[in-house]
Amino acid sequence: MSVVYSRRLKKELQEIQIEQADPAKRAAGIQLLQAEDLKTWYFSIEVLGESLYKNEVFHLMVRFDPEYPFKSPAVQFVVSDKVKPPVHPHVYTNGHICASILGDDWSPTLSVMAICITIQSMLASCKKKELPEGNDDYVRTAPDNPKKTRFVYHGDSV
Amino acid sequence: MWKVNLKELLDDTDVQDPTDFPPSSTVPGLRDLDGALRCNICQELYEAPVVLTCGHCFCSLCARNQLGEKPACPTCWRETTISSIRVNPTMEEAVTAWKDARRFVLHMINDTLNGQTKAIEASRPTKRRKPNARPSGVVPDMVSHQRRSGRSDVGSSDDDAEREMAMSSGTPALGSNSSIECPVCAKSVPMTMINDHLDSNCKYHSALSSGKIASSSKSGQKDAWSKLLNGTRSGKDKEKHEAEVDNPLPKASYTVLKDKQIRDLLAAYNLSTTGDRPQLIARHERWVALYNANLDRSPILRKRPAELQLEMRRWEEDRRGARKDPLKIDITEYRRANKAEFDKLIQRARVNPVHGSPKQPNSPKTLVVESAVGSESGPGPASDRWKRLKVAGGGGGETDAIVVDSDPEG
Repeated sequence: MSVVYSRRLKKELQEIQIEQADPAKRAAGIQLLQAEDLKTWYFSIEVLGESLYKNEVFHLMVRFDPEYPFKSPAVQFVVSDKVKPPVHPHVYTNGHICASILGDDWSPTLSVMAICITIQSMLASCKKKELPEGNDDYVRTAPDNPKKTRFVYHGDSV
Repeated sequence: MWKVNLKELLDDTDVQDPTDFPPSSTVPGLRDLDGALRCNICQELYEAPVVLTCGHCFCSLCARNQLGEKPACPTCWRETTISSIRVNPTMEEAVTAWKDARRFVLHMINDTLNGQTKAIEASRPTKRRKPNARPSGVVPDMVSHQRRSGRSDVGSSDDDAEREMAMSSGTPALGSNSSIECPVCAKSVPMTMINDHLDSNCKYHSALSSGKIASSSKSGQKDAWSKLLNGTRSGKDKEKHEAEVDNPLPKASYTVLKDKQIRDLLAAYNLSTTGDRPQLIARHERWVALYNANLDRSPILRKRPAELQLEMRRWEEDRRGARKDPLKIDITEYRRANKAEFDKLIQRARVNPVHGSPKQPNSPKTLVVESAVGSESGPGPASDRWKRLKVAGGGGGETDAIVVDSDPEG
């Protein structure tokens, strides 16, 4: 494990831990569920307040590359019997997310928490629950790792 | 099964970050100060800080790694290149001082906060002393170097008192009646002889009892002195040598280099020459970044080539581990796991063109698939799965039987 990679992730973990212990600082609606190692973390995300996703809870899986933070982590919604991905124009039914911050616009100065908050706000600002165009085609051929997909980003409008 | 296993992950580490300090409501400024002295990429205190054209500061190695990925500042996205990186010695000085002070300050804060009433009296004098003591204790090189005449400043009582307080673990302080370190040659010299020693251009009276100088900060200081002074000492040979050492490695254009030439580049620095071409290139790129980042430190903080080579070895091990990472999909494994799906697709693809090709010039033949294609009927010999296709001729009534020969295994 590269030194930068593991040390930085440990720092982020520590920070998340401190934030979650303090209700005043905690990012509302985002919670760390599992972090057994420095490879895969799980978060739960819900949009608090008025939104199309009221009372829905989603699980986010974040996988890290040893080249993190120079390479973005692979982030997707968990699809299982218990949790489903949100119906959202940028989220495919296999859990893959089309967001520029996870690809071209990733910067090593960002963090896992920044990603969670971005995705949360992406859900919060959604105006219409619909599947992305070409969802079925994509899901049928999508690679396991969303980072292997070349997404084309279409601006912020949802 | 969800569980958070933070304790185990964090227990064995000395992860330091700004949250070690209380929030600004309790202790104003310190948490922010600690944050301000950290690289936004690795979150460590700056190592060889450099600035990009936009003015944002990063560790040299972090900046080099990032600009290799994308030639823009990771904070503001202003475009820049590796060659426009500039060192930031002022920040380095600040970080060096803060590294020294950090533990002491933390210690002091804890004392103050834990026993507000008890410790407040005891900590007050140290608090007052700190701003005075630090410049002379932590960055002695620059300060004392400028006024070399003030010889007896080095190791003065103020300095020692500060150190005693900072390292409560009890490092052996230098007795003022024994020997002290010469500020010029860094050798240990009896206190009473120091003036003679200096007058003689450091030729006489060195005690040479190297064992006496045990404190790590002292020996660090000794290195600092000798390197600093060696660096400024002029002499043609010296200058030439320094210039050689200080030159950054040029970026190699690998496309015009043969494998052998890349190996030579690596061999010149005693690096491994094994592996295929991409590995050789990656290794050399890493070495150039590491080597040049090291040059962005001030000379007294630079690592020796051996240390850099050790770092390279560690990096190689990481890479070897990374190749087994689950995120990197093994293509043959993927092919095997999805064989059934692929077979089905191949089958469909092979049938469809026959279906859809009645547009063959001047043969308006109708294609009749004699029997259903048993693609889903399960495994069987290849010849069974592929059915005969009967082609009914347009007018003549002659029949062609085409056997689609296929071998999905091939």
